[in-house]
Amino acid sequence: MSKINKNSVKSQPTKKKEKLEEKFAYRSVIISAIFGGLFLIISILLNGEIITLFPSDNPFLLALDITIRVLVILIFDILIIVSLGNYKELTGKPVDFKIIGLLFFLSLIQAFKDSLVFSFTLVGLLVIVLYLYLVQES
Amino acid sequence: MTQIFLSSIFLIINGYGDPIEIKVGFGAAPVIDGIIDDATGEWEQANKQNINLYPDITIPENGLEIDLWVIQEGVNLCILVQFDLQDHDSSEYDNEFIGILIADEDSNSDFTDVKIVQYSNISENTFQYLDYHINDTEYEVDIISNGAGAANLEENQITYEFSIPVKETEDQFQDVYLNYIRNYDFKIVFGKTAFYPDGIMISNIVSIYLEFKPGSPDIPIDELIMIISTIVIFSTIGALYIFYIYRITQLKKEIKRIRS
Repeated sequence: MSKINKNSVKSQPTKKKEKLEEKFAYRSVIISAIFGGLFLIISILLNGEIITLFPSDNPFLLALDITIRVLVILIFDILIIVSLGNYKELTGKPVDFKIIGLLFFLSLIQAFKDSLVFSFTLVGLLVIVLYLYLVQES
Repeated sequence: MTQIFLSSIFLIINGYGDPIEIKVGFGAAPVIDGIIDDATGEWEQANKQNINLYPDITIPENGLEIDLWVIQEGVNLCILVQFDLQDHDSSEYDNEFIGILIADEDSNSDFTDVKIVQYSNISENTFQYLDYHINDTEYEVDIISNGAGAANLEENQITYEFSIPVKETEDQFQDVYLNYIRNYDFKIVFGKTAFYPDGIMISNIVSIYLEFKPGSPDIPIDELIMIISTIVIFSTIGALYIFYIYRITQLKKEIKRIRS
């Protein structure tokens, strides 16, 4: 008869797995937050109109400028959601709609200077929120 | 026209089609009568430029040298054009005119508004001020005439004076609505026959930056609100982001606390 407790044999790999997951989640919180910060800086520069990417009336360049500015905000939003999601998971709390709403507002308000950027960002953020809702539901 | 060709020998090149940039300051109001009254210091505070008008702006040759003075007073932009021509009181110049074509900001020199002082008899100093707008390429008289213009010939030297309202035009559809702290392109044109635009012989473009009224803030209130809003919004987001980073640094401690 074996002297080793069966339960302790089973729990060791699970504990290891949990530790690995925790480590991964912690790294994800930090890396996503850092990249989110980088995109926030780019957004401040572009959407705060501190720098202009294409000082031209060319419609193609204008469209490209708007696209970049919208994408920067949306990527910021996604990265911070990922970071926050993992943060909450590590603390054992769920990401509630208050936080999602606050992040939605903080992302959207970055586009307040340009109505076109604002409109496209609003659509993009609504798509992200809808996607998160559907993923959570499934 | 011979004299215009001769003066090209001494021309001062002011660019190859690029507008000459002028930043105007405020000063005392000149009387728009075609006379510079030195006793009262009229036009003393004006920004004074010496430019050439060319048959083709992109080819700076065969130019007529003119003095261009610009000053803002109250709600008006005042422009003075002065030059010499030989036998200036001869019948050749009876229908001489100086016109100022104005382009809306950011319109890439699409001139739509025209102010002209048109002589009908230069030896008798008979002229009239005309306010036109350009419809396609046609010069059409404005329903409401805004601004003022006058001219005066003294020997061979002629002086044209214009006063154009800034932010005060009664005709926003046919006039270019001039506003402060913005650049506008002005095309100075000269001709000897009262036909527009066919009578225009020589021209040049200047870009004039209109200063804000003295005593008022340097930045208009709407732009000031926008700047403050930008600072507040992005500072708040930045502060919240820094707070979140601080919370991340405390995360390991919090996990330990939860586990214990």
